[in-house]
Amino acid sequence: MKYVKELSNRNKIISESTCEALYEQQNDAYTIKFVFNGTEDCEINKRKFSIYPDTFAVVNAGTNFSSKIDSINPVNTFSVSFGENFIKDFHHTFSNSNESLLADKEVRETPAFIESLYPFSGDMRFNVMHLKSQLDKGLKDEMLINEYLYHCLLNYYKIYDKEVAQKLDKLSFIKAKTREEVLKRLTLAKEYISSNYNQNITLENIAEQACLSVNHLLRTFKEAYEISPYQFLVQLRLNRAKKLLQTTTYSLNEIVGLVGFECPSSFIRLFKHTFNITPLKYRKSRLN
Amino acid sequence: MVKADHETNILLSEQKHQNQTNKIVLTSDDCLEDYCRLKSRGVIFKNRPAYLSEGLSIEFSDPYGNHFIILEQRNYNED
Repeated sequence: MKYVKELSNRNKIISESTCEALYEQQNDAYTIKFVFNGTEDCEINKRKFSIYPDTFAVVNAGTNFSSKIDSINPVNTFSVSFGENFIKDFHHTFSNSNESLLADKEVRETPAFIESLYPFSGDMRFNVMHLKSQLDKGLKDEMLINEYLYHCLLNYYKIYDKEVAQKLDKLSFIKAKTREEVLKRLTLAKEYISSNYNQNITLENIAEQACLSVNHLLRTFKEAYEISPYQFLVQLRLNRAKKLLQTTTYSLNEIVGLVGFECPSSFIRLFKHTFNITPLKYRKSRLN
Repeated sequence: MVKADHETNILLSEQKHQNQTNKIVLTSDDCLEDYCRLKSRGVIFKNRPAYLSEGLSIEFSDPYGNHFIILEQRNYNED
């Protein structure tokens, strides 16, 4: 099942549910990509990453982008692209105070975001879920669709501020350029962990992907995110296991293997320590 | 304060006390949808929908000075 909705202001939404797909193209507009179940494997600038339902990806206009879906169960992808004027106007209103708006500056910059994975939660999730369910029901009202898209950008800017701007402030380097470069590399580290969370990955692997030494990675990662890369990995595994307990009928042992834990007993211990409930009790509580 | 129960949907009362509110909160499943629907039917809103700690909301007034808040409650802790 697939539908494409193109609006008169060039905003575009594509929803697709498929087991097999292969796309390769130059991404001509700012795009936010979501996956509602399953995984989409992507590649930008020779960098591979995977979009899971708890993350979304942002791709700038002009980037070479390819993606692949190969799954037994259908994967539902949802991508939102913004027309150039829509995003320029939004960016202009958002980044300028009211005073400079009144000064009527003609410069309309195009934004450049860090192309990576961001957490898909909170208001962004609520708004995108509303938009999707409305479109699934056949919504045609462009004003309402654009309102959802406006809020989607608003939510994204807030997430960007939290995930990028606020993290930059936490890094202790004096030069702004250094902080930016280090955060970019830490973003690569996080992206790598998120995409390979169920593999047996080592600190050396992560450091290599991020082009940082192991010591440097450990120190700066903790500075920015307040947890170690290993703690980040364990949290990710636990959260994704929680989702699998909730949405699938896989056995506990299968889930332990799927999210990359080696033994069930340490998984159960960590799960209980983190969520104050055992995995099976949690599953039971979600069934009721 | 009187809370709406299953039988009471909107409570109207005379203003007897000074600190009595004339705000009416209407809960919504989808605030943006309601906002656009009412806007296209001529309701004038002072602002755009705004995020509160309990969810998304939008405010408007009727010609008699009653103040309405449409609130879509969102549970941000749900997993």
